[in-house]
Amino acid sequence: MSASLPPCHRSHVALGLTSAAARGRFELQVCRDCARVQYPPREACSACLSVRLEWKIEAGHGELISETTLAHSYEPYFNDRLPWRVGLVRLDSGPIVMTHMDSACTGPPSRVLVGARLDEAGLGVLIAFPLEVSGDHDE
Amino acid sequence: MPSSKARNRHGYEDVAVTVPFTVPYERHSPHSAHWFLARALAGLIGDAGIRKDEIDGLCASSFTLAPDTAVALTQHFGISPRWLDHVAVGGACGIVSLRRAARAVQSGDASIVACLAGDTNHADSFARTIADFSQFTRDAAYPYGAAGPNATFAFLTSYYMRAYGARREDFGKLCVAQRANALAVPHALFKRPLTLQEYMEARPIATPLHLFDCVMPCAGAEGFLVMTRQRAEELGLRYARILSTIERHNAYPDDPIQMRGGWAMDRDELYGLAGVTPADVDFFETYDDYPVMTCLQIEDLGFCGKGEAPEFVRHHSFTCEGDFPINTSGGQLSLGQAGAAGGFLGLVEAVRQLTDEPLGNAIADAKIGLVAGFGMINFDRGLSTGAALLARSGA
Repeated sequence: MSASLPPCHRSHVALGLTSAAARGRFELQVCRDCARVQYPPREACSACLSVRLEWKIEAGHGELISETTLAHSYEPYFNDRLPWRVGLVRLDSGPIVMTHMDSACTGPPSRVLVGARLDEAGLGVLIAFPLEVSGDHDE
Repeated sequence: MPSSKARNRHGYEDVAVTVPFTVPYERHSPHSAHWFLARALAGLIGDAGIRKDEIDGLCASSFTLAPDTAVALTQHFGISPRWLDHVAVGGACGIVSLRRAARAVQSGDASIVACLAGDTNHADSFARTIADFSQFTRDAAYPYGAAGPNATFAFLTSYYMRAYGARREDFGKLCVAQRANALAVPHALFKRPLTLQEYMEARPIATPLHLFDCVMPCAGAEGFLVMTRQRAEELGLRYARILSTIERHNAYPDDPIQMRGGWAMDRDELYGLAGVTPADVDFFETYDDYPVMTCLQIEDLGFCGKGEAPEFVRHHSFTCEGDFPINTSGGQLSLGQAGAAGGFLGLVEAVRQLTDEPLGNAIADAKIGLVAGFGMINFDRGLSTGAALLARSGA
C-alpha cells in the first residue's frame, strides 16, 4: 500500500469539524440567533445571515438518500482503495452531508447514524454507520 | 400571462447573435487558456471581417485562466474595450454571457461584444480544478473519495432512477443519439459510432455512472459576437435573434437532492416573453455534462412532466433526423468538455443551425432553437441554470 494520504486541504472555518472529531465528537455549526444547523461549514448563517455561529453536538441521525460506489478517483489514496462507497445523507436536523460509508450500511433509502472521525490525514470526516451499531456513537 | 409582463422585462428585438466560432478541441494541450481564447478572438474578428479595435466589449469565461481574469486578457490581446465582464458560472456561462452582452449592446454601453469561453487541459489540470473547485467542495465533497462531479451526479442519477423508474438504457439512448450527431463534426473527440451495447458494457466510474455517461475533459474554445441587428446587417453577417432568456442561481435550496433546476422556476417567463410554447421548439441544445441532466431539462423546460423524461426518451428519437433533435453537434458527451467552453457549445451550435452553417448535420427547417446551461457544482448540486430561445433572423 502506498503512503498516500487523504485530501488534506480544508478551509479555516471547516476545521471545527476536525477539532470536535479529535475530541471524539460530531459537531456542526448552529446559528445562535435562529438555531439553523448548517453544513458545509461557512462564515454566516444561510437563513438569517448572522455571523454568530457555534459548533454544537450533532446527534447524527439521518436518512441515506443516495449512494455511489466509486471506481475512479482523482487522489492516489482512494485509487489504492477502490471500490469506495460514499453516501448522501439528509440529517434529521436539516443539513445534507456527504459521507464515507461503513461497509455494513444497506442501500438507500435507509436510516443511518453519521459520526465524525479523524482520517489518516488527521482531519475530521463524516462516516455513515448502520443504525444497529449505534453503540458506536459518540454521545 | 406571463410573469415577464408583470416584471416589465424588456425584450431583445434589436440584438443579433452572430459569428459562431469554435477552436477545435484537443484532448491535452501544452498551451495555456490564453492561447485558446486568443484563437477564438482572432477567429471572431476574421469571420466578422472587422478590425480588432472594433471589439469594444469583452466577456470571458475560463476555469484555467488563473491567476488571470478577463481584464488581464485585454493586455494579452492588445484591446481597450469600454465594457468588460468575467462570467464565472461554469456551464451556464454561455447563457449568462449572452444576457450580459445583449443588454450592453442594447444600452449602448458597447457596440460589439466578443463572448469567449475556453480552457486548456494539461495532464493534471482537471484534477487540480476539481480539488479546489469551491470552498464547499474542498471541505465537504472532495475529501469523500475525490471523485469530483462524478460523485455528485452519481448520487443524482441513482436517486432519479429509483424515484422515476429510469433505466440505464434510457440514458444510453441519449448518448448513442448524440454520438451519431457528433460523427459529422470534424473536431469531435469521439470519432466512432457508439452502440447501446458498448454503452451498457462500459466500465463503471461511479455507479450507476459508467464511462459513456461522463464527458471527456479537453482543451478548446468557443465564441460568438453580440451586436445590434443593424450592425450585423451592415457587416453582411448572418445572425440569430434572441426571443427570450432566463437565469437563476441556487434555485430550490431546500430540495434534499437536485431533481429539478432553476429552469422549472422560470420556464413560464421564458416561453411567455418569447410568445412561443415548447411545441414550437425545433431543436434543443441541453447541457449534457451527464445524461440525467438532459432528462431534468426536458422536464423542467416543459416537454413533459416531472419524472416523465424516461418515458419521453423511450418514445422519441434524438438524432438530427429524429423527431426531437438534441445536442445536434454531439454535445459535450461526444465532442468533449473543453472546460467553460462546454457552457458555450450549445449556444454556438444553435446559432450555427439557425444561420445554416452547422459543422455537422443540419436540422431541416429549423426556426427556433432552445439552449440550456447548467453550472457550478458547489457541493451537492449545480447552482446556476439558464436558458435561451433563439430564432432564425427571418422567422
